[in-house]
Amino acid sequence: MTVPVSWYLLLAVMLFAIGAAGALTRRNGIAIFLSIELMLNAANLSLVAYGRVVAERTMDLASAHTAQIIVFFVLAVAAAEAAVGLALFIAVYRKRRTIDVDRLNLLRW
Amino acid sequence: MTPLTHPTGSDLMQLAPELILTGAGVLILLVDAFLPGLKRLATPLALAAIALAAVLAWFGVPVGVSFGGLLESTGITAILGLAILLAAFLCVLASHGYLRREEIFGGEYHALLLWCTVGLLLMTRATELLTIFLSLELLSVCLYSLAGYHRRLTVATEGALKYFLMGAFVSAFALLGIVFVFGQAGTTRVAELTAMLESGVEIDPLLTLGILALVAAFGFKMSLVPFHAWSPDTYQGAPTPFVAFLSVAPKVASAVVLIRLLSLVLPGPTGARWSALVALLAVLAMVVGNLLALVQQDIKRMLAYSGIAHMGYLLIPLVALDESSWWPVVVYLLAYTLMNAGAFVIIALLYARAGEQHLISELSGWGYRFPLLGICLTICMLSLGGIPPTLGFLGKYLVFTHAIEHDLLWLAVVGVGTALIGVFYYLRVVYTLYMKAEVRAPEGLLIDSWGRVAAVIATVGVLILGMWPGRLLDWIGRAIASSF
Amino acid sequence: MESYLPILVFVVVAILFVAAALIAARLFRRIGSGSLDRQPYECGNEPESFAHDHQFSIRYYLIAVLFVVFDVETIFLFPWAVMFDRLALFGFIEMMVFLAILVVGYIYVWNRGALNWA
Repeated sequence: MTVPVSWYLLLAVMLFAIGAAGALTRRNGIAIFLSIELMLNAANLSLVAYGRVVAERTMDLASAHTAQIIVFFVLAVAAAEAAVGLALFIAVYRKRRTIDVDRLNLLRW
Repeated sequence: MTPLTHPTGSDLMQLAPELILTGAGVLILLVDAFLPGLKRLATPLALAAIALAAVLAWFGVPVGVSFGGLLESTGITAILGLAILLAAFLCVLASHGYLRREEIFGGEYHALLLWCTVGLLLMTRATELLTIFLSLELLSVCLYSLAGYHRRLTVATEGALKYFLMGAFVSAFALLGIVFVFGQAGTTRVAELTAMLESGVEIDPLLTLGILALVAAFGFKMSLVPFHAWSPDTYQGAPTPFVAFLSVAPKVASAVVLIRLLSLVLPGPTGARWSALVALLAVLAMVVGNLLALVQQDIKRMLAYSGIAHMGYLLIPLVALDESSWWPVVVYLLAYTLMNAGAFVIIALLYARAGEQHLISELSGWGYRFPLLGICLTICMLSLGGIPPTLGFLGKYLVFTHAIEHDLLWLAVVGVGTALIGVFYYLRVVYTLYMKAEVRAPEGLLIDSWGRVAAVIATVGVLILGMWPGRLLDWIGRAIASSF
Repeated sequence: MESYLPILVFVVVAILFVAAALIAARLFRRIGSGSLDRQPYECGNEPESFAHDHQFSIRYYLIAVLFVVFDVETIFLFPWAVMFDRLALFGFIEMMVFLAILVVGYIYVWNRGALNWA
């Protein structure tokens, strides 16, 4: 017996929701960013699962490969984003000694 | 196993402008690192690369689909590509003096700007969802870094961090949208999606949800109303000449992607609901943008909110989306590029203290002290307000007539009404320039000829194309006609 | 379901091992030897200060960020290596261009002194 694909999708959606909730409620900038990374990885998990669904539906293994290749690109993109984000965190921390987003309030209309 | 296909020479020719810009960025970075004495060359190098890319984009890129359907080149993408390159050109011109004045001149700035332009050009032409996502990320990462480029300033890093956190959050939703579309449709190619949706298969709710997530992501880049919170903060903190780029180029490219996405769903059975959604977004952007712009004291924040309103006008032709919608959209985007970039270029020249507020009242009486820049700023403001005989008027006129022709009189009425609010706050800037007594002495300004040239290019474009639009409209008409 | 049996065995053994180790430690340790038990283990040396008082050098974060980027980019080498035969010369050139861009980034970082620890 194998694990049904819908379970993977359910897990992925749950992870995505946890990430989104974390990104919206946390106040520490790094914690927000970690939550966003969780969302990206949830999307990756669902991509791989969907790749298999589509491959079974169309009887063509290429779809599964497409999904896996997309995951590779997303990983690389996430790393680049993380690098820029962490650099910004360092820059802000040097100036303000905090990365609590509620206290980054110089800019208000 | 499916056979492998290698890109052909024609495919590479399609990428020529992007390759030039990427290579120039690498070159500028290396010159800056190894020959610090020549770092000032970054400005002419970047300008030359952008000009070459523009020539190639217009004359060299063959029309058609390339890389097995990943990219497409049409007359429309060529014109909008030129608009993006124009924004980059004006930004580089205006940045020279600003970066010298703030003592932050570095090749990284120009390199990141060129790579960001590459992402934008690819995004206007991408017809496959992963390609769209990758170019979106390429340009986003460059924009985040550039927004925080003036890292001595607390507001700059703070604005950039906010932009980054919101942008990354939205990117995750865009990715989830792509996953849902792929999972339900089994393809990421826009052409195959169109064929599938036209064949009349039942649309899965998840597919709709996926496209909705993508629309939201590009709405964020265009700073449409529920997703606009980043733009005033980021504009205020970012280097002002870079805002000339940030406030126009990403919006041009995102508008194209938005139209591609909407053309998928608008003809379908749920089209009416999508139309209503777009109309709602347009009204929200016009009303909220104009009302919030009205109460701003800081000219950068005022233009940020007015930019939100302009994207609302741009959405009006998309409510009844067909081939005729391209006409007002392209003209409006061109007008917006020239007048908004022009306004920010002049603001970059006229305000010396980068970290502080750019109060409108500080411009009091400066129309006489700086006659050329005063006239240029006046014309840009009149154009943003949609007053004839400027290009901004032409854009608004085409947008509203398109709405009336498609039985959307109420939307045109809302548009005209909110535009009148806009006229008020744009004219307030002109009034301050000429009718008030000076309140500050011009200290610490660095108004160089690069910056003046940028201001004049934008202003002359707005004015000449607005007064004699015949040739421009012919040109755009031919390009649009050749795209279908 | 039978294919999951080894995993079940593995999980049970892992739990038993941890439980056994903790119970054995509880049985054999001396009780109530004072505050020394609660100090962090530092090879017999007296701890000098609290861990929270120490700030890491900013270099540490810089190198960590660079590592993240360069580490993950190698992900593209794997599918290329697997398909090396079929991608042939064009794939080789393409990968060399990709690596050249990475090397430019590396040279830039090096030149800017981001890799100097001092």
